[in-house]
Amino acid sequence: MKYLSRIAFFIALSAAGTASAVPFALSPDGNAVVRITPQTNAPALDTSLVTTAYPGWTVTNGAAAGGSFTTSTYTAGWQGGGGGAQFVGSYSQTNGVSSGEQLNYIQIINANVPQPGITSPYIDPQPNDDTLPFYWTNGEVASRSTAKSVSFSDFSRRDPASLGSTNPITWSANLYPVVYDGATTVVVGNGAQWGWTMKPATVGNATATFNTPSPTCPPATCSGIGTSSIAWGTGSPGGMSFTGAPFAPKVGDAFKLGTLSYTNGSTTVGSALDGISLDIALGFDNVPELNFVYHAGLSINNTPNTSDPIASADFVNFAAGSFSDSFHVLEGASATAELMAKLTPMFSITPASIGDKDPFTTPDALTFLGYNLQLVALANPSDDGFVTGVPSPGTFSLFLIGLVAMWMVTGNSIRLTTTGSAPHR
Amino acid sequence: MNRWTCFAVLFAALVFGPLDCLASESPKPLNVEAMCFEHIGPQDKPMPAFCVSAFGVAHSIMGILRAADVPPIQLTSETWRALLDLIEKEGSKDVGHPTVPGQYQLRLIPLGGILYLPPEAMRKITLALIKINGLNDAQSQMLQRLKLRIAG
Repeated sequence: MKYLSRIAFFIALSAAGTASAVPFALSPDGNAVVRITPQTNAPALDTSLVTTAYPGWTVTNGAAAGGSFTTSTYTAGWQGGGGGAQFVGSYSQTNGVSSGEQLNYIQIINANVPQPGITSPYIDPQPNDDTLPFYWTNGEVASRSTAKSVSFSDFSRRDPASLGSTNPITWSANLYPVVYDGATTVVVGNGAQWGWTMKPATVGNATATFNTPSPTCPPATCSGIGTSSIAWGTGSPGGMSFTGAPFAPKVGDAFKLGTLSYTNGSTTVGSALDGISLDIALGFDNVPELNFVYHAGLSINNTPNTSDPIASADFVNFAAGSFSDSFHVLEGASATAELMAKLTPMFSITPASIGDKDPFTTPDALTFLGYNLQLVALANPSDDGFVTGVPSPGTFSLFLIGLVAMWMVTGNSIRLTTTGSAPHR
Repeated sequence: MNRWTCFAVLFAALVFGPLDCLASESPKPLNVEAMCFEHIGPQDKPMPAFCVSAFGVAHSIMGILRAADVPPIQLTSETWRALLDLIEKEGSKDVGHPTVPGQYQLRLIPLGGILYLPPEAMRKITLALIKINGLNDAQSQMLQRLKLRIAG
C-alpha cells in the first residue's frame, strides 16, 4: 500500500498537465533536488551591465513594440550529470520590426555558482559565442525569429557536487526581449524572471509513534498509544519510547534514525503487551512531497525470570523486512539503543524502443519515484542492554561457502584414509 | 567430474565470468560508424550537441542522429581515422566531476559505449573539425560557437 500511494502520487504529478507543471526533480542517485522558482516579471534591465561591456552602445529600457512573452515549458530536470531547469517560450509583438532590425534576447544571470572566473550578475553566455551581447548569435536567431516573434529555449544546470561548498545552489535569470538595429542600439522590452534552486534531498527529521497494540487495551493495560512513549502492564510497568533524530545521509549510507529506549518492568500476567507497531515518519526538509511513514512491527517478549540475568532479560524484536534484530534489557532496568537505517531509491523504468533509440537519452529512462527505508542495525546499546540478531544474507552466504569448502576437504581426507575401499558415492 | 574439478569450474565461472564481461564492455572506437557529442556538467546557455560519422554510413545509422543541433558532419575516411586516433588518445571512461564548461560525453554508434572528453580534448577536436571541407553554414557556425565557448 505504501508503494501504491507513492506511485499514485507520481502518476498524479505526471498527469497534472504539460512538462511545465513539474516543479521539482530528484537527481538520478536521489541525493539532490532541484526546484524551479515561480516565474515573475523581471525588473528593468540594468543597462550598465551591457554598456560597460560594450562601450559606445545605446541600450534603452522601453516596451519593445509592446509585445509579450509566452512560456511553453518551465520544468525542473536533470541532464548531463547536472540539475537545473528547462525554460522554453516565445516573444511576439503585433508590429514587425523594420528592415535591418532584429528581435533577440538579452539574458542576465545571477548565480551563486557562476561560470568560472565570472562574477554575478553577468550576460549569458559566458564565455560569449560571438561579439554581441545577445543570447542568440546572428546565425542562431535567423532560424528562430521572424519580424514579429523570436523563440527562446534554455536548460541551465549545475553539478550537484557543488553543493559540498555552496548550499543551496541558486540560479536565476532575467530574460529580456530586445530589438537590435544591427549596429549599436538596443531597445529592451519587459523581462521575465525564472530560475531554480538545488538542495540536498535527504535532509530531514524522523519522528515516531507507537500504535496498534497487541492485545488491545483493554484487556491489556497500556498508555501513550499514538505518542512516542508508551507504558504497559500493571505492577511495575514496562515501557518503550523512541526519540527521532535529524538525518542527512547519502542514499545507501547507514544513518541514525533515532534512539529506542526500553524499560523491562515486572508486570502482572495478562496486563502486558506482546506486540506493537512503531510508525516512523520521515520528513524531508527540501522535498516534503516525498515524506512517508514506515511501519515496523515489534514483538515484546517477556521471558521467565531465572537466576540467569541474561536469559531473563526481556527483549523487543523487530520484524521489518530482512531486519530482525532484538534488543534485550536486563530485568528491572532501562536501556537505550540507536536504530540505524538507510534510504534506497525507488525507480520506474521506461525501456527505450530498440528501433528508435535517441543517442542523447539514456537507453532506458529511469524515473525517481521516492525512497524506501531499510532498517539495518540496532547499535550502541547502553549499559543493561544488548543486541542480538540473525546473520545478514551476506554473512550467511559466506557461512555456506565455508561449509561447502569443509565438505570438500573432509570428503577428500576420508578418501585418502580409506585406501582399498570402494570410492564414495 | 570429481569434487575439485566441480569446485574449480564453479570458481572460474564465478570469478572470471564477470571479469570477462567487464572486459568486453570496453569500447572499441575503431569499430564505430558514428559518434555523437553531448555536453555534460555546468552550463547556462546550452552548449552545442552534434554528431559526426564516417562518410557513406548506412542510412539506418544516420536515422538515429537526429537529436543534434545540426545535421551530422560526414568525414572522409582519412579524417575519420585521425579523429578516432585522437579520441582513443584523449577519451576517458571516467567522467569525474566536471566543474568547468566544455566537458563532453561521446556516444559511440552502434556500440552504444560512452567516452568522456575533457575541455582541452574537445577544443582540439573542434579545431580539427573546423578545418575540414564540406561543412554547411549551420555546421560551420556551430563549431565556431563551440570554439569560442570552450575556454582554451
